[in-house]
Amino acid sequence: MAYPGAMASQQIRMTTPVRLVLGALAHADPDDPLWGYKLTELTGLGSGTIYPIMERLERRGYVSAKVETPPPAGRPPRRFYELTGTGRELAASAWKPRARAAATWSSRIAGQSGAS
Amino acid sequence: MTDHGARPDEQVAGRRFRPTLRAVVIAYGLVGVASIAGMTWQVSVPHGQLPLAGGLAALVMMCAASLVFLARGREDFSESVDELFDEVETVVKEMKAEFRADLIEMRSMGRTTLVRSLTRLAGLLAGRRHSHLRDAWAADLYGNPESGQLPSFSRRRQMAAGDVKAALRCRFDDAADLAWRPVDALLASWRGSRLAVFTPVTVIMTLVLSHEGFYGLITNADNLGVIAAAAYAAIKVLRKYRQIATPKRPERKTSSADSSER
Repeated sequence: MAYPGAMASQQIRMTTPVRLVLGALAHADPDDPLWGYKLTELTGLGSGTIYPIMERLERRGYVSAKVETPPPAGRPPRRFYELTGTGRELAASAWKPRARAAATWSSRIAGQSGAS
Repeated sequence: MTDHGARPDEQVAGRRFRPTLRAVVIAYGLVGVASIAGMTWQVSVPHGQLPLAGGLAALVMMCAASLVFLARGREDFSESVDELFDEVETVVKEMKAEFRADLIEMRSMGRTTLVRSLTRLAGLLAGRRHSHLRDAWAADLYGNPESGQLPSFSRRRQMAAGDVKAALRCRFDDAADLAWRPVDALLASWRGSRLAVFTPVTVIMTLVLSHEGFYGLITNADNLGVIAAAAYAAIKVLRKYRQIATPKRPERKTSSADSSER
């Protein structure tokens, strides 16, 4: 039986690094999934930030991870990350408030420039 | 090595300037003669030691003369000496190159060991729950295999240090999750929330009653109200912070069910 606070564990705090990671994962090519190193390159965040976020997202079911198959020769297999259905919804909602705010501000600026 | 098939001037053109043996011998003889002259005419040399100085000078001159004779007697003598110099130079160059290669390899090994040690440390710190990250971290050190280019040492070191940080943060997250669990349970439960508000108020009421009596309860009513409000506000804030929905009041069991059983 799930403990009463189980609902809280499904939520994730939407910080800027989380948004960046979700954005990178949302725009990733399904045939070319992302792994830790690639995510650090794309987002500009360090592996010390990326991996705890990925663990949190994976635990809450927003991201699924799979190990590289077949195992490559001469190096360890990579761990590829992909957004799940709920993860895609989360990624879409993550940028909505920002996009709305940006649209509002741009319309205000456009209005001001038009008035002047 | 000297190329015997090539012309001597070509050989010289391809090499650095080196004095010929003959010039060395002549210089040696001149120095010997000069030193003998100096020794002979120097005031500091006692006259009793002049035969000894003369003997030494003669020995030096004989050595110089024998070298000149050898050099004249064997035409390829200077070439042999040049070859010897070439060989010595080649051996020294090879030794330098080997030493440099060893040094580079040792440094590279040291760097690789440092990075691997950090990644291994990160794997240990992450614990069993995050053991799947060990391979992921080790794979990250190879960069993008599709490009076929390894990341620089500083980048790998940065990644490895980041892995240690990630491991610590993962462990901290686990501990925090564990610590939040009872609080979340309390916040998600209607009865638990009520209990969290009323328990401190009840305890303080009991204390006030036992010390100051009923009159004390009336005088401290405002303080009790503040404590209750603070507890309620804390629960509200924590619910918002933990993104927990306000729980609904549990429905009471209807008495009709009890009466039908009877």
